Amino acid sequence: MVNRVLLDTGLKVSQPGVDVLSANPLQLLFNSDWSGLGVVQSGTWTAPWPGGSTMDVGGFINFTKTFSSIPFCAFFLVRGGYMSPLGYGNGFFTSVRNSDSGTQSRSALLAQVSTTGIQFRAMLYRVSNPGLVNVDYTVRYFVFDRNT
Amino acid sequence: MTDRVLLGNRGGEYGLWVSRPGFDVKTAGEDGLLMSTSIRTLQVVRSGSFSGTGVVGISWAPVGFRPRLFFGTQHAIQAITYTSDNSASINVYDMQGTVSSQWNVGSVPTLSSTTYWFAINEPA
Repeated sequence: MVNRVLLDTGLKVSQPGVDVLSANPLQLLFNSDWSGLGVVQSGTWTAPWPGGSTMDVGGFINFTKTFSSIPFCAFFLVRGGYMSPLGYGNGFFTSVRNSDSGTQSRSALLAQVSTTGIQFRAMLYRVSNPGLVNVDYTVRYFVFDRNT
Repeated sequence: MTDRVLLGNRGGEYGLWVSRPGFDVKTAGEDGLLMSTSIRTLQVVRSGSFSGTGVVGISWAPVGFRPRLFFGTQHAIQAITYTSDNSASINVYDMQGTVSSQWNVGSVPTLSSTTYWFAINEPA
């Protein structure tokens, strides 16, 4: 039976079948030299459909604590029973062109993260026959923290 | 008081387990565990930040493997190219121009130029 747990000045745990005393970094399941990572807060933010042709709605989600540095957050747009990841951890754009006039309907969701919370903004500019559905914008968010 | 740490035999498997508050470590399912020697615990091995867009180089102290990178930015990460096991070239597309031209309701947001990154204990 191989040694799998080493507790001395820290804690290391190796993969099954791998001796923790000789394991390389990728053979470790846990290494107290590194930071832990976990979800400390999650929820949703909704920009209700305004019923008109334009929308500029904002909202701020307070974190349950003030972080020493800006935390990593993941965002997903919730529509039609499924979740679509929002790009790049902060926001996304969509654009629909009106083929008749050449003008564009457009919508955008932006999430700007600080050490105290998330500032959301939802924008909608709709022209005739825009191809956009009248639905609320709901964003599911996850806030990650690490212990260093 | 609920048992939360087990170092020993759990269901015939020897290892170390830590359960979430309120969960008995001897009987908890996977969703009731904070740590299990049956699976790799997600950990951050390196992290950093940089300012600016375009092609940006980042590097970190070696960890013994090429780690998977994650980014948080208000711009767009177009490409991640590893140049070694402890460095990468990041192509950051400046989204401010797109935002300024497309956002036509209310005031135009100003995007932060800072990108944050972290590397996890999984190979790229």
